[in-house]
Amino acid sequence: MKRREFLKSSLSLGVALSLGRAEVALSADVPDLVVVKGEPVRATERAIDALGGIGRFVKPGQSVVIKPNMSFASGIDVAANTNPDVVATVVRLCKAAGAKKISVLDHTLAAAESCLELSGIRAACNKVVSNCVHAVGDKRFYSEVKIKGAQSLKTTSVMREVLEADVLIAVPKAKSHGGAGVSCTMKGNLGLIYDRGVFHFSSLHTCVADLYSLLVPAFSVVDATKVMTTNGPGGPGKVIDYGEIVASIDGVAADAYIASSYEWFGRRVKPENVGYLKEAAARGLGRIDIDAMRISRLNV
Amino acid sequence: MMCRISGRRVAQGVSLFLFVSLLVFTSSQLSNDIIDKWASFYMLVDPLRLPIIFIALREISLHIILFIIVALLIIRFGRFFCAKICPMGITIDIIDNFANVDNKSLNTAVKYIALLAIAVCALVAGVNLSFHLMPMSIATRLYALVLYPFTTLIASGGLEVAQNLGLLDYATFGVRRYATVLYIVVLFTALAVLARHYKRFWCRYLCPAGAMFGLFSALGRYRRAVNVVQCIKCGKCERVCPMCAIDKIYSYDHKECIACKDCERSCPVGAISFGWRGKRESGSGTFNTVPITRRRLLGGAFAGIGVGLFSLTELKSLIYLPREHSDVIDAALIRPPGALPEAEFLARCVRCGECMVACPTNGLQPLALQSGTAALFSPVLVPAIGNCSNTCNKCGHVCPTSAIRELSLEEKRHAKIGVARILKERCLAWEEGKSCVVCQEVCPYNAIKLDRVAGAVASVPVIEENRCFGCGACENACPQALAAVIVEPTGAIRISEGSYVEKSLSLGLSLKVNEKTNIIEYQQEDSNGKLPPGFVE
Repeated sequence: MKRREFLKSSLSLGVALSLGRAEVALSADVPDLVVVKGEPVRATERAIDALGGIGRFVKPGQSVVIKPNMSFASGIDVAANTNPDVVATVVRLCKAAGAKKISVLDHTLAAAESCLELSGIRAACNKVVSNCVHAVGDKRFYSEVKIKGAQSLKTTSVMREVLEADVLIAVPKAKSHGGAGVSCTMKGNLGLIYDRGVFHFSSLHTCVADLYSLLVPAFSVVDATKVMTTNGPGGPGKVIDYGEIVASIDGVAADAYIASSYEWFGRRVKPENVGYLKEAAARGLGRIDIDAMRISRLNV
Repeated sequence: MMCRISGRRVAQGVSLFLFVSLLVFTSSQLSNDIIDKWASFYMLVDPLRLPIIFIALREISLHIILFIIVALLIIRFGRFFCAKICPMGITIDIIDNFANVDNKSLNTAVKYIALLAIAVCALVAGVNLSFHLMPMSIATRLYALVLYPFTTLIASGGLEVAQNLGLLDYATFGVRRYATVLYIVVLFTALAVLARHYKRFWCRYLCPAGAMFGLFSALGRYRRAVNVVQCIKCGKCERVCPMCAIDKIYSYDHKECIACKDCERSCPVGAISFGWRGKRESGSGTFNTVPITRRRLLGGAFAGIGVGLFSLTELKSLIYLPREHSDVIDAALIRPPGALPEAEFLARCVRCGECMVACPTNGLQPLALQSGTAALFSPVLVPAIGNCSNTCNKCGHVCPTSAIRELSLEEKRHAKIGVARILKERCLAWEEGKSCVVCQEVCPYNAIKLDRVAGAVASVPVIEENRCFGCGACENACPQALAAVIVEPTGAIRISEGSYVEKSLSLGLSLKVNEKTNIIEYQQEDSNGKLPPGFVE
């Protein structure tokens, strides 16, 4: 069943089943996590290759939404947005896989035009597929959706194109976040809904977990090349050059790796110290037991 | 009859197109420094602009040359500006075209008295009230702050239709909106009602710029003449004259004549001509419709003095401050960056709204009565609508009177406009223990840090005042319906000369956009053992 059909049927029946489990199909020869050190473009290619190749996720003729983090009006040195080369590489692979439509979308926090410009993502991706990068700010591009089984965020407005797309790919930035601890795949989903503010009225962590139960990417490629380790999400903060690309079919696992492998404000934390990761694991949305995972470490 | 479009109408069409284009370009992303420089061209040629500022501030500058050039042109060619170029006149011609049925006449002295009152008010009280009747200012506000928002709303609707048809992807068109524009709407509604019986009511009875031009044209000898031999006394010229300046065919008041030459064009026998006359001829065929009596002059002068004194003695007037510290500054009085010290700012600002249409976030708005009648319609930042963008310095570039100084981006980033305050009792993090970091996320000056404080569940935002520019990005983004972080005008740098960079440094401020300046390190071996912000035990 296609993602689109699945979503439509589940919505119309009012039984939006947890999409996550359907997609996280574990295969014996694919590792739980791929960590590639090296030059960002080749590392991104290698990481997706290690997950089984793009063709496993994107079939010819399908429509794809790629969700980077481009919410901030700052350049690559601040490390608040995803590295544009990483995003463009994913766009290129999707194009090569025969995707019919590829859109790079985010509901930006700062002024849309500045974000698209300064992040460098529009320039980089439009070179691959013309006019594919959009900041989606207007309410009319969103549709109200019920989240079945949600504890706090029972309804929310999601970008219509995301609901209609065949494949969703997360290309988040790994960075510090003053409210959530760490921002990565799961927290990045906030850029796909209209009312970002709602998260702050109820429990941020519960809402992030609720939203992730609705919007599960086919896979996540995390930009951990330069990591903003303090003062996130906007920064500027202390940026450490870890030079890694982390990929997984399980976005929760990718986030757990990010949380536990790097320093945050100069110290180490455990995945359980990130509220939404703990909730996600408890609800079975993904794994955070890093020590038990099969991690493939590569260099390019 | 006359189906051909006259040269005057063509000139008016071109002028209005240019006027509107400048405003639209200024507000768009296509704008650049050169367009911004010319954006207020029409404001620059308004004869009311400079003299009143100079009288109010008791100063004079070389800019007066532009005023002299305009005056010389009017002296030589009559009031052609009113007939062919003035966007206010064009607008009124359009209204007249629809609304006018007959053309009655009143006493045209009113506008001269108004001009006198404005000048006396500036002279006696140093208060510039020209904005109430300044034609370019009013026309700019009509097109920029009333009609332009209409078109943005319509365009936005059209875009939505196009997108429903699957076109144009995610393009959006920002809908503009402005405060206090009801004044302009009421004014033009009144003019439209009056237009039924009075052509060019505004120009004949109210426009002080027209009065000034009338006095200029009286200095020259550009005159209308009727060839008595050819004239068949049909009276057509008298009927078509929009200014009611012709009396009994042959004589006319040249102060009121706007040299539109409608009479010349309508004359069936070609008996009317315009031109520069000899000294002796220039007096013939003219008469004075303006009985400016001593009583009226005194009345105008007293009105000016009265209004000026009223402006100075209002509770919230900031023009004349007998005390060192005023305790009546309104919280809304967040001036644009680079705004001169308040008294000088108000003496210069002509309320044209150029800065408001140029402001990319729509944050600059006309003030209502919060700071007295003398500050009416002057620009203030309303962060709830839009913050002061740290990549923009347009307001100072388009200001036609330098009420807002023209600053480089670096200088502008130091022209502090206020300071943000957190209202803890409204704040999601402080009051309700929620993990809200929005204000910290959006602050481009890095002036908000998240801290763990005793008694607070979540990490809470704390303002570092000396880093805060007052841009209002935090207030704009706060998810609470009534923002829990608000900008107030405290600490704004208002200097009439010198560098804002140096001034802010001398005040011990640290205004830096996107620089690593306040990194807080939390160490593993922290004696409190507390986790960094956002993490949970």
